[in-house]
Amino acid sequence: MTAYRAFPAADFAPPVLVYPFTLVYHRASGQTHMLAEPAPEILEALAQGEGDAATISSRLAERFGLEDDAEALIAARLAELAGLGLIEAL
Amino acid sequence: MKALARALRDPSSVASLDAAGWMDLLTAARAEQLIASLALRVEGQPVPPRAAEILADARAAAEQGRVRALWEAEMAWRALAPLDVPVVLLKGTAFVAADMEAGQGRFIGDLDILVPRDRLDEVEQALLGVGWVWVKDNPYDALYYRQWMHELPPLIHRDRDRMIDVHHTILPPTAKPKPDAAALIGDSIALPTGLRILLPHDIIVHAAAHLFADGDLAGGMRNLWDIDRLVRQFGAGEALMERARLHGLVPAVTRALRLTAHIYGTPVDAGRLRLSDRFYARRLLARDGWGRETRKLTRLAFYIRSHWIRMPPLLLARHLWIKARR
Amino acid sequence: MNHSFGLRVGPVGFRVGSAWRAPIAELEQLYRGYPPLADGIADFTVRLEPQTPWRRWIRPSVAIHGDFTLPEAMPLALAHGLLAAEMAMNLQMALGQRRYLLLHASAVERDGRALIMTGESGAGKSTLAALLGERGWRLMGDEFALVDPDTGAIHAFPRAISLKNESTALFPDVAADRWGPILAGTPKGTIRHLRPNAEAIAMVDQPARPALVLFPRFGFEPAVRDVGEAELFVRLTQASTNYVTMGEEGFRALSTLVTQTPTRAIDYPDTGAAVEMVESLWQEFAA
Repeated sequence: MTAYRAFPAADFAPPVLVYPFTLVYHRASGQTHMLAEPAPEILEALAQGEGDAATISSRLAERFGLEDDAEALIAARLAELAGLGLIEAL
Repeated sequence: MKALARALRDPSSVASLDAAGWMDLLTAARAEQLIASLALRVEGQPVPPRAAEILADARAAAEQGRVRALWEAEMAWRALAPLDVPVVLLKGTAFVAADMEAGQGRFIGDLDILVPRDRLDEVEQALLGVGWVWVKDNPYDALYYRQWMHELPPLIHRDRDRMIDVHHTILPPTAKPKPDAAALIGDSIALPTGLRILLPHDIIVHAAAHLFADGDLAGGMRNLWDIDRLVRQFGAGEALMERARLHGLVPAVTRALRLTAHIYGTPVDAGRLRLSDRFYARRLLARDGWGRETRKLTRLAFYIRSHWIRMPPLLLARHLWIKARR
Repeated sequence: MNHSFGLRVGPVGFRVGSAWRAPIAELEQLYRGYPPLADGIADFTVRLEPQTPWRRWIRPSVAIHGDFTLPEAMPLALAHGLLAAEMAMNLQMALGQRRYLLLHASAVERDGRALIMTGESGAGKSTLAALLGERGWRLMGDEFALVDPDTGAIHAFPRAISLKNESTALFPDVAADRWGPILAGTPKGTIRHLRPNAEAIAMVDQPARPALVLFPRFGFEPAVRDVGEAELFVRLTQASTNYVTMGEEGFRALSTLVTQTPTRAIDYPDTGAAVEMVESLWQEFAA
């Protein structure tokens, strides 16, 4: 399973909640991303340390109730976030 | 436009400018895409408050341009790194990626990269696979590029709206000088990211080739400013001439050095200005304080000349004919 | 250039040069009483000049040039030189403005607080702002609202208002000397420019806090609809020509505006109904 790593918090402006989305300004690209859940939560969980979809789902499970297929969904979101350059695939 | 050259060469000269003089200087600098470079040069000089605001805006815009250019290079690198092919950044993006003097305030348009000719097809496929698309879908244009140019037809990224020019050498195959593309790539230097830049003296040779051989000298003040900054940082001398000889570009390099010494006061032993240099200097300085291009005849002569240099005469006729019929 | 004119509209200065006298004379008339350029220096230069030298006299046509240009900008007839100048100034703002986040929106002010109206062209935001400007509000601008990234305030940019000929009847009480020449057969149809009133010009340097954003839509039965923060953010990035070039400053300015300003979309059948709806929403959210 692919592992991912978060970029330092200084790479981003403080996120802004515009319900039901989170606005993330990425300083390295100058791009604004409008993220739907659970992408912002995944970013937060990844900021605690690198990990793959399984690690991230167990971190999220401590805070939220997760569906059975959550891990597959989280794997897909992680790949998208890496494609946008917001996290790094290792 | 002489005021722009003077301000860049000797920033303290702006102290004598009145409001109209500032207006003309700012307009000419903007037209030549040198306004952020000017902003950095006149830092610490007495500048009227409104002019200072305009210059601060220009610096902020250049900084934003730097961020976007580096990101674009990073995106290209992510697409190409798996191919295990050397990717050499050219022009403005290289200057900022390597944090060179020439990158300070530099306006950056397209992303220009150099890759080995025998890997072009792979590079093209990799870029097309991650969102770059052809700008022109006209088959004649595409054929023209592939046959006669030193680069792929331009590609644009469909989400980020940024162009990339993929070169396999630094001059069109139809030009008389034949730069040693293998040496350009072979002697290039890796940056921490994995992307590469040319040897600093090759960067100067490329800038000189770009100034004269690859266009009608439009934007020449900026290109010459690049050369001034590069020479001040990396020196000229025999090491530079050795690379110029290797790439068959001694005439372009020596003329560029004479012109930059003449216009920007670059400290280089370039020899006296030749009669023909004066024609080039006039063309470079052909813009007034309203941002208008002056000396129309000089400019036209250069336009015709630029097409002749790029293509043998018969080809030119064919190209102009096809262009005219569309 | 042969003829030139400098004008400052709020925080932005323009220098307009022209090969002909007529467009400059019309600008002088329309913008008389505007403050002088700050430090005598304009932010942007605009040039009205013949496409080719002989077109200065033979079927004269005005090419729009300046610091920032679009290759596809078509030349206009000399009779429409004033419109060419206005379009050229808009172009400089749209392509070159870097100090303020630029919203394609009209704005009016009351009690130091700004009402911002935006939406697709033809929605009536310009006419509505002009009307409110004659009915107790201060006109801040009919084309662009400038958001200060440091303070979040809106800066006034009250240019002459370009009105379609049929809309001029909505302003029966306006003094004759506030109207520009009738420009017939322009790419926008027959239009006429209205000079902002004395209050708008006198208060031009006073910014205002954004208090309400409206998306008006003309030609429908009266209706008011909520607009969420996320929708507002997306629509305002689309209404801004410099959001991307403003970088992080633009993000800060826009996200603050979006999270702090109440917003509604309104449909209206005629301008009378629109003015009533605006007044009632202002009472509800901003007064």
